[in-house]
Amino acid sequence: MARLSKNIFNLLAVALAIAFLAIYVVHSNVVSDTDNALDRSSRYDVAWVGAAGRLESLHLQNALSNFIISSDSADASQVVLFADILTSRFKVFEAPAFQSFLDRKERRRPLLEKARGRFAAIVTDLKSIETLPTAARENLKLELEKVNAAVDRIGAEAQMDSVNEVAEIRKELKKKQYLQKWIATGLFGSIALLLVIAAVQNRYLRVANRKAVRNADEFSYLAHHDNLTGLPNRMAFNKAFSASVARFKDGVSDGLAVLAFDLDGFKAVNDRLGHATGDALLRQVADRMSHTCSGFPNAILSARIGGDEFVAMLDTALGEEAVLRQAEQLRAVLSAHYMIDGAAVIVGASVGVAISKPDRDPASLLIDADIALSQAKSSGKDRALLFDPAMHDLFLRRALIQAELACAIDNDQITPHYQIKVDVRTGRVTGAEVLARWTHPTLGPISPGEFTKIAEQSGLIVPLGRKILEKACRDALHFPAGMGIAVNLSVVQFVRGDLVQTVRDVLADTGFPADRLTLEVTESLMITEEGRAVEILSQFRKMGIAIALDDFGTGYSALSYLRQFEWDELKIDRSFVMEIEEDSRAGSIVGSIVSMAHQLGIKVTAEGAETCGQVTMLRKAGCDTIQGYHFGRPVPFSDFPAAMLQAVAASAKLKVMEDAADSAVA
Amino acid sequence: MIKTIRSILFACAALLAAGALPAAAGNVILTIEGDIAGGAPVDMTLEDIEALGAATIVTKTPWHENAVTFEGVPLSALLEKAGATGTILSVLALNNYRSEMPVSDISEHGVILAYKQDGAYMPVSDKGPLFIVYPFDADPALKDEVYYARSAWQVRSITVED
Repeated sequence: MARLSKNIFNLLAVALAIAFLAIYVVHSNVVSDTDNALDRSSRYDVAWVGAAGRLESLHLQNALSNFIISSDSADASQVVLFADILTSRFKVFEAPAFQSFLDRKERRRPLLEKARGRFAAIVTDLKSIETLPTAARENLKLELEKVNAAVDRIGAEAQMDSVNEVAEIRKELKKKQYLQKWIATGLFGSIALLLVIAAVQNRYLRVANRKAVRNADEFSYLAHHDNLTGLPNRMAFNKAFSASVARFKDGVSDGLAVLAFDLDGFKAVNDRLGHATGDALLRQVADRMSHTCSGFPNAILSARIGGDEFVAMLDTALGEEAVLRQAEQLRAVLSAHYMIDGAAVIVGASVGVAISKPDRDPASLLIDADIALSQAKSSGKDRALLFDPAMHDLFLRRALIQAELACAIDNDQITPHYQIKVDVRTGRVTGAEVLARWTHPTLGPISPGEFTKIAEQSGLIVPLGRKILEKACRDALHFPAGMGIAVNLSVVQFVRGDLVQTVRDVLADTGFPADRLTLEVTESLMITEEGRAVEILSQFRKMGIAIALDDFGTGYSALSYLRQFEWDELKIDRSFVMEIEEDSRAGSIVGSIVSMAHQLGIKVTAEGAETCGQVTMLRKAGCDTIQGYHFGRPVPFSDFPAAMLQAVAASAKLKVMEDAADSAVA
Repeated sequence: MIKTIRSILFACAALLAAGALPAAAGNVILTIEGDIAGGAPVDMTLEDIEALGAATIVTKTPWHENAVTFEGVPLSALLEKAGATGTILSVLALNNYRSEMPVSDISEHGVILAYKQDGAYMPVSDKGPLFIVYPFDADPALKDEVYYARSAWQVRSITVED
């Protein structure tokens, strides 16, 4: 419809333009014709010339007749005067306008020329009329009568011609007027038509404009809202955020808080229960979110800015404490169990909170909240955490570590260090635990706790683990015979890649004997991947590799783990060792663990022994081997011989002291 | 038109009674009467007229084939001399032609009373001795029968009227 009408409008516009052009051409012709007509009307003078000629000629004839009768010299002078006047008239007859009048009829010119000739022949006589004899005067009168008749005829025709011409001109003018009237009518009609077209087009435009506005509104809504939950989306949040930041910067608002939410375990819901359930969950989360926020007088906006990422923006008019309470309230509301299709779905929620500070750019609030959120998630989930600038540094450090980890592994920046284990009964060094150490060119030493976590998240733990294992096996070949090494394994290594094959390959490549290798795993492996873990660990044992359960006593320390697998070694966590001197109960627990382990045929190693007292207590509690600063810190391979000597020395010194103490008691 | 012709005829009769005036040197060729200083008619010879100063108009006319150079006294000078106070000039010619012209034409168009045509005095036998000339070529509006009709030749007398 719109296109059709547009075409029609274009055609009409062209047609009108042509019509205007035509009208203009016709009009200008009419005007120039009218000019011609006016020009002709100025030849009206011909009538006067003719009429005056008639009168002058008649006057001359009368004067001559009078003179013939009276012989009065006054009459004679009239004859002389009018002879001159008629002479003048004949000259006027030569004017161009009069000539063209003569030419309009063939006989006129000969008639006039004949009269002119006759008059020329008698004019001298006329001017000396008084001297002429009477007979000559009569003759003159007869000749003049002939001239007079011709001038009279010509003059009358000139008058008639003019009358006719005037009539013709009038007729022509009338015709032109008629035409001009039509032109004017045409113009007015065209203008009226144009106005109608403009009005119609205007109507179309108004309709189109209304439609465009409606569409724009619709698009704007779609562009600013998440179509799954109906909450404002990231774009809407960004707009509102920028506006709020500007208000804060302008001093209109006291402060701004951004709360970033993330569901803990949403991915699992999606994977296990399907996307439909995931979507239903998100809708319910959005409902709870907007419902709860609508109860906050200081709420500015809540939005869904990603898969399971939600944000709420509040102002701090109620104070920071209130904001934190609200964050915790929201977290609790979102963490409550959901009913989807009659089944309960349980997910947690973590919250990162960032509140504007005078010394910090408010534009980074969302990033800060995200940092706090990731900190909340990495430090135990299902909690609300307020951002502080240290988190930002930590975040940057993590980002840097993450970015450079792969490179560090390839370039052997991460190397195995060795912490010696000592047999407390013999004082001999039985082996060493392998600990990965990374000395970063700018950050300096990075603790394994820090980078292994990042390596686990990115999966780089697999190549890293293999590299450390391989290097340690090659190093340990140089250790005294019978001395073993213990290498830690991460849960991720069990899940990703073929761990058994990797270990087998490394042993084959390095030629390190399997019976000198111990692999250490933590309780968390047994919690998350129990079946698979037991299977893999069993294969290791078949290969002759010893398996140790690390950090025993920290997590659930379920005794069932001890039953599920035939562990070779149990490592008591340093937290018990540190308190063993002061807290008698810690000593009792260690003793119980040791006696239980021994009954199951499991060796016990204590970690983190730093003092003589601790070592003595642990030995008395029945621990088989001890590891700790007392015998030496983790050292690189190059320092291992020296460390061994130091450990032996420490052990010997202890022995001497203990013996002295024993004899003192005795 | 009939009225005009009739008035011309009456004027003609009046002149017949008064007798003709020859256009020789020293003779009166122009009479100014009507609303003028003193009230009495003023007769003027060609010399009197020439003494009032001269102006030239070069123009084409409907009565000549080519442009003509007219020389004569500005009508304004003539009326000033006569002390005329009226607004209309009624002009009577030797051939009894009578025309009327508004005095305003004179200041507007610089109308002259010509006595020379192309350097020669004009005889009665060629529109003489006096000819009211408008500068037709100077203003297209003058190329109109109204002004052609006001351009009287063979002028004999001028009556100043209100």
